[in-house]
Amino acid sequence: MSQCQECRSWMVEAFYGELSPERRDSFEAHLRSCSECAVEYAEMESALRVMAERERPDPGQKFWDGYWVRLSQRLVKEEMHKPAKLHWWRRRIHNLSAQPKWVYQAAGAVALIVIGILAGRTLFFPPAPVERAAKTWIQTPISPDQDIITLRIWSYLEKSKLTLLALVNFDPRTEDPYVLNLPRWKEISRGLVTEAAFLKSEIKDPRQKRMIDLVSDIEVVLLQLANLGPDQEIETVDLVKDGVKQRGIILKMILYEMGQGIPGSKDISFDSGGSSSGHKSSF
Amino acid sequence: MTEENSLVDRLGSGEAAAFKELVERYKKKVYFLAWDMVRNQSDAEDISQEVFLKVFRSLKTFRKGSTLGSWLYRITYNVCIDHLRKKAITPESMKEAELEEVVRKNSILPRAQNLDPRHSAEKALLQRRIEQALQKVSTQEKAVFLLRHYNNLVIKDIAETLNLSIGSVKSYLSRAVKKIQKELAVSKVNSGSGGLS
Repeated sequence: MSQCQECRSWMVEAFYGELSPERRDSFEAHLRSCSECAVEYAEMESALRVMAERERPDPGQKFWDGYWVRLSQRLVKEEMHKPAKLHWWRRRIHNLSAQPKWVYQAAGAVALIVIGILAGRTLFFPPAPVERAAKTWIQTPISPDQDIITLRIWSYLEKSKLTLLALVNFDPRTEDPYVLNLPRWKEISRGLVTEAAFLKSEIKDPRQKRMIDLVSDIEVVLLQLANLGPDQEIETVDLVKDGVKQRGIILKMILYEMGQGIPGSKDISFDSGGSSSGHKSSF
Repeated sequence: MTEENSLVDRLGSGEAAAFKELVERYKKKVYFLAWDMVRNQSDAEDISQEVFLKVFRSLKTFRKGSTLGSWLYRITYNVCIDHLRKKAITPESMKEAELEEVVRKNSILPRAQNLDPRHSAEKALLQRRIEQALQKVSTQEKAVFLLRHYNNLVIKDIAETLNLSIGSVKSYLSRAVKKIQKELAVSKVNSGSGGLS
């Protein structure tokens, strides 16, 4: 560093008297020998002397005399209005609200990602409806010794019961057939007929004769339902009602379920007297 | 034990009279540093009171070994910075209006003292040039300059007050002086005043 550069770097400290005695001597010696640095220092000194002319308006003696009184009044006021000690959970919330801005931004970003993933899964990978329907049918608790055939019998009875009750309790003369959705029940009936054939072939135990008879009775009614044409809606309903009534199918189903301990067998309501009587019985 | 150490000990023991003594001793220094930073009497008083309230609430956090003055200046500086940040949305025209107010208030004194109008006008102009020059430096540079030039804190104490290194303080001070010098030279040419002589 040249002497001039060193001298310039000391100028401010020299003006405020903060140079060490050795540097002060060196600085002053250089100014005596270098007119350029001497002029520069004189200009700086002049500017800082101008700045020293700055006047700071004094608010006056009255202001200073009352300063302590005003301060102590404010102190008392603020202490009185200081919020009471917060409950722990309010303190927690208060602390949360005092988090830096980036914390909220990060939390917001994470929330958006989670929402995006959930929305994406719902939109692009909806749960299979077939699986959901199957779960609906198999709601009965399963004990370890119940084999697969028994489970299928229970499922068959449950489905058949719901199908027949839907038709038995429906009055086509006063209610809209579209609400009943007969084509859907016909389709279900076809599936149940197929299932009935399978069950009858699989049940070999002679003690299960009562159950085989019940499956056969239901099968007959369901077969009638499955084979009727699309223009025979009222006839279909009446036919099913008559078949159920004549064969006492609902009563047999309930008795069987009660004997087997199948849950939900008591919660049935249907029109046992057909559409003409309008009388509903509860089991 | 020095007088300041004794005061610190009394403050630490919660003596009410010691707090009042602290206020009486430092109220002008704190007020004028606040005024230097915000150039407004009302705000300066509010800031100075806020400083003493903060001191009152945090007396226990005062580190023995550091000076009371440095601690108070540091709090004052921080409260001023908060205040200036809040006022940062103030439009430029308002800043100009504040400057005019400062000049006007300062020019009241010479008139009251029956100084001649020409001298009074020159003084008002000089004050305006000084305030304009101070506006040209950054907040940090300004704080360093104000503490050194008007509050007589040595560089080492400024470093302690503003939590800066001594080298940084020297650098800020040097930059502030250069900017002020430049601005005063420009304003001298524009006004044709001989204020620098």
